[in-house]
Amino acid sequence: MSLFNPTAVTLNTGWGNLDPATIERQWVARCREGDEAAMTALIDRHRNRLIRTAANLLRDRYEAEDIAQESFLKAFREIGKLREDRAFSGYLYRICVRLCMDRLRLKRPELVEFDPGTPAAGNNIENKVVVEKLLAMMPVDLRTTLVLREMEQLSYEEVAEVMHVPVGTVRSRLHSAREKFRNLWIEATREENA
Amino acid sequence: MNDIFHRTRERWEDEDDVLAQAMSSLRGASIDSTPSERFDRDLLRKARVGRVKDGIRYWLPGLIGAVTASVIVLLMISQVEAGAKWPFSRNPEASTARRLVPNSQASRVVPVLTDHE
Repeated sequence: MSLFNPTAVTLNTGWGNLDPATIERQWVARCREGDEAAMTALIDRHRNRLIRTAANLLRDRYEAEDIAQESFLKAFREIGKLREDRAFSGYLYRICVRLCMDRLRLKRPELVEFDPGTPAAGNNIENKVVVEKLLAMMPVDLRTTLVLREMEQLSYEEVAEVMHVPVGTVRSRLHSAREKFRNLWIEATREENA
Repeated sequence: MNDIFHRTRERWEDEDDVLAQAMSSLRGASIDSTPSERFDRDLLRKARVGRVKDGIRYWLPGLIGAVTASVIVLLMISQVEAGAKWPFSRNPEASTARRLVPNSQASRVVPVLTDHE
């Protein structure tokens, strides 16, 4: 499912046969005038995806909700500056990712010791804990690129747009990120097997 | 030569396997978070408060300017009023007073030092 394609989301709008993209444009236009119903509709449409992305980037559900709310508020506040109404979803997503990156930069990169008793590829919860620790050891740019591409399944172009960098940079960052993650993962599994 | 080629290929395949495993574990650790029940309500409340704050922020400089201007105008009016009464002393017991000398210097106002003791 493409992030920037409003038609990719099924909408239960009660507006008959109108195209979802058109409906979203109308919501954005009404939102500019301070219409709360339009705001609710936009929140309802983008909330889950925004929270999930923030949670995957930050590895914290509560912080993710915080960031998602902040993103919506910022987007609503600056909705007047938006040139194209159809660009709202991409704009909102960009704000969210940038806020997450800012939040991650405030945290110091961690040096994590693995417990010999923690299997790297055991059950799901243990796997999540290990992945969380590995991601915490990665630089913010690489980590964000990796999460957006591998977890959020965004295309190279979408990652480039969200992170405001050229596609070539995304490719090279993704290569470095995969290498780094693989090495950390090998280290973690080696410690587990030792 | 063939042996080296096979060993290199095996090493690459191993590396690819490890990478695939690592990426698979990364994808497996994806968080599918459901928002709390209060999410929408809190967000709308914050948006409302934000709108009020923005409104205040928008109008505040104008309001401050208007209040400052009216205070200045009032002060100026009171100064003009006070200035109009200035030559005549309000306090009869002041240390100096002005009296008119009618006869010889009819139009001159002469300050006269009074002795209260």
